[in-house]
Amino acid sequence: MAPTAASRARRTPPSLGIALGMVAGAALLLAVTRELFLLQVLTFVFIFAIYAQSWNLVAHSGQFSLGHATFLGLGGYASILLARNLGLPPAVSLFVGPLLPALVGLGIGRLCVRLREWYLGMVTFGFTAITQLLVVEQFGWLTNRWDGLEAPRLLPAGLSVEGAAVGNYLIGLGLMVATYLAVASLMRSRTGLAFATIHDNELVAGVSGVDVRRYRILAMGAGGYLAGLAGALNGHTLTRHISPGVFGIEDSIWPLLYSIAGGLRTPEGPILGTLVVRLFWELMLRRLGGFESLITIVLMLAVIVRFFPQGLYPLVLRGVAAVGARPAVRR
Amino acid sequence: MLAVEGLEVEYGKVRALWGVSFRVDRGETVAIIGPNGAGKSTILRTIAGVLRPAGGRIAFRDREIGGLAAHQVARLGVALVPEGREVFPAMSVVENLLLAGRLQRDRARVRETLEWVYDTFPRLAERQRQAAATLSGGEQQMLAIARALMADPHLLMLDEPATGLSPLVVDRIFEVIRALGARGATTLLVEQNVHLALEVAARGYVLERGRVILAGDAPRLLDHPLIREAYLGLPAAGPGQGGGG
Amino acid sequence: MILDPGVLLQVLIWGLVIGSVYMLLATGLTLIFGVMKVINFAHGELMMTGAFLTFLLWHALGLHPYLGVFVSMAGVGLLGIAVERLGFRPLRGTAKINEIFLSIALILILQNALARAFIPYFREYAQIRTPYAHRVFDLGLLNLRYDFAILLGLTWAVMLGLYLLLFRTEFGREMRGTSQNRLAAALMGIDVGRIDTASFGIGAGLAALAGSLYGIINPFSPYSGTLPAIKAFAVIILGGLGSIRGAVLGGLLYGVVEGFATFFLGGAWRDATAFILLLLVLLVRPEGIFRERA
Repeated sequence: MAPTAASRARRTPPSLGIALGMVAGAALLLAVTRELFLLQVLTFVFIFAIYAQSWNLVAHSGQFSLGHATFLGLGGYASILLARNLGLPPAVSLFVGPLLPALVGLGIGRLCVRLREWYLGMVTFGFTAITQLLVVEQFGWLTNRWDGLEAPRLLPAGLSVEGAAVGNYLIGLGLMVATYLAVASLMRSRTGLAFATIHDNELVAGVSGVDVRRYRILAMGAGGYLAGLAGALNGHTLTRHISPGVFGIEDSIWPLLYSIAGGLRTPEGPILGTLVVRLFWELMLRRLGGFESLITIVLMLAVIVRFFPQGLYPLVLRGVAAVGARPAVRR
Repeated sequence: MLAVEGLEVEYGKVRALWGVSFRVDRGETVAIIGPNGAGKSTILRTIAGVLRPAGGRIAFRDREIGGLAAHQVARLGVALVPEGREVFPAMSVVENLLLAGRLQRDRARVRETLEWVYDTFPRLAERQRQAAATLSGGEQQMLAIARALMADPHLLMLDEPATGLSPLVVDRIFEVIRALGARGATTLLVEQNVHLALEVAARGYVLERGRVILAGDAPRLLDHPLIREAYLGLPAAGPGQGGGG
Repeated sequence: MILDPGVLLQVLIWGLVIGSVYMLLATGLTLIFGVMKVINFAHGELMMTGAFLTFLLWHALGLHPYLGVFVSMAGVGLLGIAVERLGFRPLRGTAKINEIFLSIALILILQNALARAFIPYFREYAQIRTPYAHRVFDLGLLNLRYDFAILLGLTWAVMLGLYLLLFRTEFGREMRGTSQNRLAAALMGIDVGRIDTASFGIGAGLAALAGSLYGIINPFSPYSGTLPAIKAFAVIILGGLGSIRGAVLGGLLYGVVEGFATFFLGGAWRDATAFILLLLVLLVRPEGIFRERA
């Protein structure tokens, strides 16, 4: 309800400070090391933190999407096609392309406006499969079917390998921080308050004058844009290629895992979650195969859900408070 | 039969009951009355095992039952007719009744009880093949009571049996409650309609904001100034008292 | 000739066979949802676990697939019981997102466990071969594969068993009661936790049968269960969550529609049928068909 959302905002540290902290930390790391692999992993974390942020924003409005890969993939395809077929510079298509998943998000939001919980989960889950089908079969002439498309690079050609890695790292960081600030201020605005009210009780929200329908659709649309942005960014920087595999179940599940691990319904949670889970994942891959690592990750998350239902972010806050750095972050 | 002592119940961090104590003796009809939100239903639901007590004791037939699961309490012979009837909507009337009849050990007595229940509520006999969802509100309440009786319980608990029903149906239901009392049934009744409740009950407890504030024999309660004024809307018998609920 | 009655019958039979897979999945899902108010998103993965179990028993131990099916059903049934006991039960009464998380996380766990266990040994796709793979009944108008006839018979025998269990036994009455009103069921002395466990076990067992059936008529991988499960979701939404009748009729009907859609419109439409149907219903009567009991 309203008071919870308001008090939550009050007891968390100001987002601008956190944003500056993230930038400072990332810059410091860059000053210390140029290890290519590490930079790539962190770029991945930045991009997928945007993706998780998108899922978390939609969840903030009480809608648990289980088909978020729809937006991720459509954003990637739209931007890559705009760049390839219409000759748009990737720096532009990166922001125009996600309008497609934003529209699709509005459509799905409208379609599912009365569905909740398991129903919404089942329907959104199904959307990913139908989107894949459409992309491969109905639009196969455009998308090159299962083989997928090469993606034009975002950075100018001719950069050194290290230069490109640093460039991608900085672009990912910048967009992640921008997304973070946007979502944080959105969550504190009247709109965010409306989302939170709907999340807590749709009926009460409706009775107290919140236009549930409008805000739910809006949340899906905004989520669609951000997820699409992550998909486009990923395509133009890291993978440099997109294929229908992006519409798999796994890519719909990851943002949920990241958000839950970090802490649902806070703008910091998805970032923290993506970082922790992803680093853990990379560490595990050194010892175990992919299958075992994935199972271990999921089990680890189950433990987090069981014992820290609020995710890791409150733990971090408590840790900071315990050190005494910030008396304001009491729990 | 039932002795509740210092019962405390919490919903999350909100406390609903603060040390409630009362007892129901064998063969007695006892009413708990009080305004909406006083915690009346909470008491019944906690005894029935639907809610867990945060403190206090619930002794039923000299056995501590606080914290048992609902099905365990039911098997000991406590039957709750919950608020809002809670019938099995897609099952026929007779299926609803037979499902409760499982609680009786003796198979032969199930048939017997069924016939007695049909005698008590002839309407249910007429509709025994009909799905419970198609019954009227009053008929559903009868079914809910009949279903509780099918278990042949040691203690029958009724949660607001008159709510939302027409006066005619309410009369019929309270007639049955009175008749059950006359047959020696032990009944714990929760009701907002103070007049009705205290007419069938031998004793009553008044609950406000999770605490018992008044207890006594039914006729005495009916004459108590607080009850007359706050619940029955009559002028207090004695000298005018200022504060109410 | 496209409208040759023999060909149409053939398509119908195919639709009924694949519809049996959907029916079994949907019935299990709706049974579990009815009792527990939980959607098992990993139902398709339980299905493939069943397929691989039957496959393994046949491939490694030489067990006849039509006997292996029953072992597989029991095995996956036990797995379902474990999932309910160790997974869903501790989460009951906590935030809904936890149940959704567990349900979806099970997909990853089962898929990867299956892939880890089987792909190294059997390459990417497996198929269960019965001794009757190439034998057909010549029924004049159509040739009915032995396997299809056995599969249809097996499915209907199991469904009949389920019907008898649910509607002719005391236990079935308890189960239906819990599904219709959990609170009232507990007040009638029914141990609803036990019913949860049983419903998950039965649902998982049905999924194993669906998977084995699927594995006899199709090559499969650990990832093959997803699409059938999504179709089963569509079926139970259309048929009404918690309704067994809706799941049975919906599943079969869906299989037949899919069969004819594939035949007349081409393979690309096979998997789209579900969603087009689902979208239509969502658009036309968003509440009418959804009945959820608190």
